[in-house]
Amino acid sequence: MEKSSTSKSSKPAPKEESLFTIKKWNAVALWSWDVTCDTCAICKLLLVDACMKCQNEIKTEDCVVVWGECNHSFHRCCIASWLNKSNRCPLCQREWIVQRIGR
Amino acid sequence: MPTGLLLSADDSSNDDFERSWQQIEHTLLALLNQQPISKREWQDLFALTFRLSMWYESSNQIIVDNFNSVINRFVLDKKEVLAAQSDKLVFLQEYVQIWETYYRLCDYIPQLFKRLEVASTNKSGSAALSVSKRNKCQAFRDTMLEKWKDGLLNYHIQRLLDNVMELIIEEKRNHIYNGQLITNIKDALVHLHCSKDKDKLDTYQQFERAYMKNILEYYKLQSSMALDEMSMSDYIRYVDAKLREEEDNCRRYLEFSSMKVVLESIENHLINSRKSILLQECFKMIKNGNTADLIIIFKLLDRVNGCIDNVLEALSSHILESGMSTLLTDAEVIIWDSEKYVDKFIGLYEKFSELLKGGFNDDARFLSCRDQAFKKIINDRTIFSINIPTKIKGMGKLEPESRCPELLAGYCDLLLRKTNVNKKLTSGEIERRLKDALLLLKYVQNKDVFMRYYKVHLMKRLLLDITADQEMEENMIEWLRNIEMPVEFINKLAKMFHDIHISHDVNNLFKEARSKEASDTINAKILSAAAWSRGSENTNVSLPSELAEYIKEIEGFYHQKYTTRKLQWHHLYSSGTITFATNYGKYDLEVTTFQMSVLFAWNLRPSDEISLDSLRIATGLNESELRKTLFSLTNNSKMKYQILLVNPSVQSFREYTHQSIFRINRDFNIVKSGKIQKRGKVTLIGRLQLAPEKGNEEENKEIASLRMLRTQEAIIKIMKMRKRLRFGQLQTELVNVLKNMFFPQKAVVKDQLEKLIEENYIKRDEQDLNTFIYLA
Repeated sequence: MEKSSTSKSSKPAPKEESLFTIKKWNAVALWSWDVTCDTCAICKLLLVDACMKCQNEIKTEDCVVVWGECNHSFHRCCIASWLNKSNRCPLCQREWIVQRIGR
Repeated sequence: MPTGLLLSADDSSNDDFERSWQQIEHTLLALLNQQPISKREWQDLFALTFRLSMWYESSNQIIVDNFNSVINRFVLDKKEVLAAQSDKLVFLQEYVQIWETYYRLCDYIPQLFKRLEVASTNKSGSAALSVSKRNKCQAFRDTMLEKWKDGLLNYHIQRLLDNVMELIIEEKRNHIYNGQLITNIKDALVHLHCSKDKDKLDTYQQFERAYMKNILEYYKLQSSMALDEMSMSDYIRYVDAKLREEEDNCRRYLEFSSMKVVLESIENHLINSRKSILLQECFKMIKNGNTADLIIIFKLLDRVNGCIDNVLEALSSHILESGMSTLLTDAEVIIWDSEKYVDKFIGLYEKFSELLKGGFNDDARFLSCRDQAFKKIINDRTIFSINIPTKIKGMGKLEPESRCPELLAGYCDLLLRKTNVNKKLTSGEIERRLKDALLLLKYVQNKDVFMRYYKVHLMKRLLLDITADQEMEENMIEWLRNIEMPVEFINKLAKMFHDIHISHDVNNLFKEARSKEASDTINAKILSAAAWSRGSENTNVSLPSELAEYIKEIEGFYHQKYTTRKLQWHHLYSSGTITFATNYGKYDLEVTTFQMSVLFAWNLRPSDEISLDSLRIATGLNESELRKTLFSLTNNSKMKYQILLVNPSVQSFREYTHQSIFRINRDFNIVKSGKIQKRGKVTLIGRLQLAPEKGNEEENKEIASLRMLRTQEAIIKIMKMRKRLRFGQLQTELVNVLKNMFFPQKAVVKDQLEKLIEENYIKRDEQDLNTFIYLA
């Protein structure tokens, strides 16, 4: 009895009821730094991870990425110690000006 | 004037000396024979001896001789008295009585001759310096004791000992106690030793020897009788009781110094000579779990050197044997059912622990023996194994390992996930079971496999929101930390928790900002790539158009908030619920995003038949991923009716061909207790969809390559510290460093060493090829 009624109702009205409708969707995305190169040219580690020093001291939270005006990016700790020696980007030798800091 | 006095005394000197001595002698004998003497008489003795020794030339020697003969006579007299005594008991009593008086006098009588001794030392001049006065004072006492020994005791000693021993044995046999008498005799023999030969207690030693001999003879007879008459369990109780009794006896009847020797010889006789029978019995008891008897036999065997080693061996082989047999008989079930697996092992563990507690008093030696045996069982690979290649490139050897860690991780997942299993349990019970699993984990050799699986399970629980109890999850992390799992691993897990919380907040912000409709449908988890799996390649999929819209929305929102981040969608991790309208009703399907993408291909053309190639274009999935997704829809083993129908039907996802035609099963329905339901919910999300299904082989290769890196890392760490090391030492240190993760096999270590040598981190010593040197 039920069978006939449902089959009848669904067939003539395909418009109001499509075959599948979405009820819920759990999307998953991974974020990473918006960088052109994945690794830090100073410490050779992935920018996603903390730099070597911070990994050793287990304070990975604070180790973020810094972009220069030249759009090159490094770990903040790595470039900070580099800047003690020279005020230029280690990759392109242009003057280092911070463009943005990762957060 | 003084000379005159001396001369005049000289006339009657001999007479006077005789008379005086007789008086001394008389009083002495009275003393010895315990006749009453007055105070006056005693005091006179001092005066007399002093006078004689002072005023008569060379009187000292005479006094000594006379004294000796008095003592001699007395002793011989007593000897006769004792010899005349026929009754054994009275003989002993009398001996003790006479001795005790005599011994007391040995302290007093020598006092009389103190002066005499001083005089004699003065005369001998230089000799006085070498022999102290105090020692000299003992000379008379020594003579008295010696006379007693030579004159009396040596004659009677055999009889004395025989009689005492008889008493001792009688005490055991007929419970006639003469404890005091025995002790007195013993004391008599010990005290007899005069200062000169204090070190060699020869009479006492005679006593000790006789004691030992008699006791042993007694037990030789008794124990073999007991062994014949009694059951083994009674016999060990008998031995135990006897040994304790003998300990008491020794304490009473022997000097402390000889206790150990005598007890040892008794133990030697009662236990060591019957070692093989006892051991055999002990093995039987271990097998039967007879703890009541075991504890006694354990105490017995523990008294004798070397026996315990045999027991340990037996115990370890018993644990192994019964553990393996349990495993093998239930192999079929255990291999697949992690719950049963853990139950079985915990059952075994508890059984053995009980045995150790009841039977061996939780003796440390036995505990460590259990641990070792257990380690062997758990890491055994006869019934199930996974293959971890030892080399990656080329056809590496395959080293099978126990699948135990994988099962344990599965078991933890079962308890922490929302499942039927965990619904029925209280949190206390879950906690107990988790602890059980951790207990077994401690014995697992390759913990890295466990970590890997645990992490995958945890990811799934967090991503799909199917964690049963958040608090329990976090506790579990702490417990894992407590059993010394590697810190990096634990930190990573903790980071995942942290990250999930953050993403939750972001999701809420997004919901507030968006329209109601969107926020009801969409949940976004935006996670840090650092904390979650990385390196796993992302699989592309084209989404249903509705979803693509949502994605844009989320991205827009997110980039506004975080300008320095970029997002990468991992549809492999995502899932959803869709409503499926069929001829019978509407059903909610829980599906992965891949499944969703495949099914939505039909949304615009519900009745079409679609080929594999068209589907690939429609979904954008790569072929292998598509095949697997299709297979979960056409051949889902859990469902009566499949959602997709395929023609021709297949048994494996590899069998789809380009001729395969797929269509929607519009007659799909859910049957519950024989009735077709109009509504219902089905989940199609398989067990593990997190990593793109690589197959176990690849999974294991990954484990293997991780191990190689860890091995290299550890080698460098060790070599940096030691600078120079032989291979054997290096291997031991490696095992130590890596024990929380896995057991480094020699082949792997050698391989990695070669690699490091190639890269000039390490070199071989030129003289000794087995020694390695660290190159900075």
